[in-house]
This record gives sequence, structure tokens and C-alpha cells, in this order.
Amino acid sequence: MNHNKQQSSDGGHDDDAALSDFLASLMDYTPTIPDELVEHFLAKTGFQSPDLRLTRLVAVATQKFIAEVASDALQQCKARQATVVRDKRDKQQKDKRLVLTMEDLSRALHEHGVNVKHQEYFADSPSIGMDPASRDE
Amino acid sequence: MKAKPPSKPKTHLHLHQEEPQNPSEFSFAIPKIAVSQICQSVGYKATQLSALNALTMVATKYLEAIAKSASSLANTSNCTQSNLLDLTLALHHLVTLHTSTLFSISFSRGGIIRDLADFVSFNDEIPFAKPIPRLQITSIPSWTSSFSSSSSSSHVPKWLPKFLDSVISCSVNERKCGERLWEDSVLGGRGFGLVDLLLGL
Repeated sequence: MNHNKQQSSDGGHDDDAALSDFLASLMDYTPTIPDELVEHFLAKTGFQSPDLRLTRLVAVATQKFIAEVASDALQQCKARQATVVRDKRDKQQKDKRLVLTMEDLSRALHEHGVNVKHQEYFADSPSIGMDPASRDE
Repeated sequence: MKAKPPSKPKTHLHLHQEEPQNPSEFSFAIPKIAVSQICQSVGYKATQLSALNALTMVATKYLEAIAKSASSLANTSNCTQSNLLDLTLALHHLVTLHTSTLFSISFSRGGIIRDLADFVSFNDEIPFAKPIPRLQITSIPSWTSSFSSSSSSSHVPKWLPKFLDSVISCSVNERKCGERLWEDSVLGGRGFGLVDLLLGL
């Protein structure tokens, strides 16, 4: 029993060291989102903390989330391009270009619990797409 | 055989985006640049404007959700300032919301903090594209020196006591009784296994 307690205490010390190392490394790591912008949004919602490490932690967490969503959307884009039948060489060169579309983004965000819907098309007038007979009426 | 006429050079349509006119537009334009950098690092070559705007909106909402959850957790503990524990619990709540199954959350070996540590260690940092002018904070003028010189502070009577330098110069993070912020010491705070909670053990 004493041996188990000693093992747990040693593991706890290792975790303490790992956590302190990570917090210290945040000061050397520059997130993509600037600290000033993160502080603006934190202050906007009432988050108060004088520690810059917590600000960087929030920035890193947001960057990680966006990177995961973008990566999932990229997988959707590549899977969609793999199933496209290539007719001409011009189309092949055009389709190789990876473009972030709303379709891929909405699917990727749906997996992360965010529902994004966009209009499929926009009509100039209410009578567009209707039969000419019904349009005359 | 007729010769083909020379093809006209393709004219690129330049969309002149208007500069942000108010602080809300400015605070949206900056994360848009950061999100586009993240998309480029993942492997994208281009993006639709609507998709970029939607992803930027999601990023700002995610940021605000973390902060709101952390601040509410701090307030329920009768604290005004949030600490690492509040932030970790807030991230845990968000992860349970945006993951499909509970088993995808790394409860067994690591936790949210460990995932972030792995992300920081295995991903190259991507600094912001635009240069950020840092505000140069000039040194605070010492009131004692101004009061000592009679020529510049003739409006202040000499019989008034000087300001207490010890009150002004004390550090924010440390009090006289030896209390320190929880982040400065790994253990501490509210008196339970915080490290175990953070690392999901």
C-alpha cells in the first residue's frame, strides 16, 4: 500500500513538472492569433486574468480547433476530388487546386457540433424558375 | 487554315475589400487573417470568401465561449479572476459539446492540457502575417521626485507627507503575507488534486 502511494506521488511530481514545462513553453510559442486580439475578446466576455500564459493557452486552444476543422474539411475536399471522373486534362489541373468551400466546411463543422447553413442559390426575382404559363398568370 | 487570333490576356478581377470602419469590423478583420493562415498551413491553396467569413465567425465565437465559461466558473467559486483550473474545465465542457462521442475525449491517459501540449510541441508556430506595433509603455513618473523639487511642485505644500513607495512598488502577483497566484505554483488553489484533474488521471 505504501508502495502504491509512493508510485502515485512520483507520477504526480512528473505531471507537475510536465505542466510547469508546458506553461513555460507557452511564453516561447507564438500563436497565430495575436495576444492583443485574444485579450480583446476575453475582456469582452468578462474574463479577467493578469497571466499572459492563460491568454496564450486560449489562443492555442482556438488555433487547434480551427486547424482540426480545416483539416477535416480538407479531407472532405480530397475525398470529393478523388471520386470526380476526369474527362479532360484541363479539368484535372483545375480540380487539383484545394479550395475551401462552404460545402466542405459545413460538413466538417457539423462533426464538431456547429451547424452552418448557407443558401444554395440566390434568385433575382420570385418568378425565376417558374413555368412561363404560371409566370404570365 | 485560319490563324487563331491571339488570345486576350486574362484580366483578374480584383475585389477591393473596404477597410474596416468601426472597431467591430476591425476585430473581425484581424482573426480573418489568422484563420486564413491556419487554413494555408493545413494545405489549402485558396478559399471562398463566404467560407472564410463563416470560419472566422466560428473562431471568434469559440474564443468567446471559452472565456465566458471560464469566467462563470470563476464567479461560482467567488472569484473575479479566472485561473488555469477554470480554463481547463471550460475547455472540457466545450470538448464534450463539439465531439461526437464521449470516448473521443482523452480521459484515460491525457487530458485537454496534454493535447494542447502535444499540439504546441508537434506543430510549427505560425506568427501573425502583419506586423503588430507594440505599445511602448513609458515609465511612470515618480511622484516623489516631483514633490522633492520645490521649483516644479510649488503648488504642493511642503508639510504634506510623501507617497508611500512601498505601496506603489509592490508586485501584483505577490502579497505581503506571501500569497501568490495559483499559476505561479503548480499545486495550490482550492485544495484538491488539481494536477490530476487537469491531466485527466
